Amino acid sequence: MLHRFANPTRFLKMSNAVLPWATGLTVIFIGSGLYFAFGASPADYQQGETVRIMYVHVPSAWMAMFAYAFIAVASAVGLIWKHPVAHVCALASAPIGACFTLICLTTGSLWGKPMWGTWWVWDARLTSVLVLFFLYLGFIALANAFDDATRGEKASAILALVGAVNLPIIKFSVDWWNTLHQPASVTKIGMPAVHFSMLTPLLLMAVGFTMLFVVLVIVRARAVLEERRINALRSARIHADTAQNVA
Amino acid sequence: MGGHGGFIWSSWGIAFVVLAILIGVSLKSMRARERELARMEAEMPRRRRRRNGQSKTDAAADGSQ
Repeated sequence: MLHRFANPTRFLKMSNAVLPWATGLTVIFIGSGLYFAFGASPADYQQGETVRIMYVHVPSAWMAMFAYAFIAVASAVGLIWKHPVAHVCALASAPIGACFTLICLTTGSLWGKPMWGTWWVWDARLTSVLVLFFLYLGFIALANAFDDATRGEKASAILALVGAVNLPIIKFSVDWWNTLHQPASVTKIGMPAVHFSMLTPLLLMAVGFTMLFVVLVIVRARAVLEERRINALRSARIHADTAQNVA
Repeated sequence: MGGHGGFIWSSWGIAFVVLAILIGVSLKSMRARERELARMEAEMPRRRRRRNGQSKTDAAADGSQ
């Protein structure tokens, strides 16, 4: 199954089929999520209207971690099985994950000011998410730091695997340390501590962001594969011209 | 928005702007490469044809045909 998509041509064919469906689902889920977030969900009895920040902050935080986990798995597949499309998918996902982490950090800060009375605290959850953002930037910088794309892929894949240790730290930081950030309320064992009327827009936005991630990975992976094809054609043309001149 | 409109709309606004830029840049980059690739692939047979034509002309000029 995994090796079927190692062929870039097959991956492009599959992505052409998936892209319209994923785009349609993104529009439907984010559209209905926005409707529930602003029109059909109540204000919280403690936080008031600021609870509406949760519908963009929490799905962004989930996506920030999901994207990094995806990059780590894709990097491992690329390193172990020399799967060329896996490296391309990891490279394509990094800016998307960085953007979701940036949204998570800024919306968290904007939610923290009215609720905690401060824009930022150096507690374990906030600091570990900031580290995740820097890991994304490091991954992107390292992948583009080499003239040889293969070396850049390998170096960034190793960084992604080492940095994956940060994911459980983010997840369990609220349990392991005393933090200002609240503990898990949706993914906790047993029933979620969030009322159904607020859980609905939260989950709709989360699915919408996941679909958007799929769309953007496909679009960006296609761009990377096409760039490689362009470079291959250019070098083939140079070789052909050189051979002709020598003859 | 209970006096917190600035925080709520800023959060959604930032998220919208960041995602819009990401989508725009990704689509622009993909389309630019698609155009470039289509142009290069369309040029390839023409280059071959031209090269073949040139070699025939050269051969004719040499009197070898």
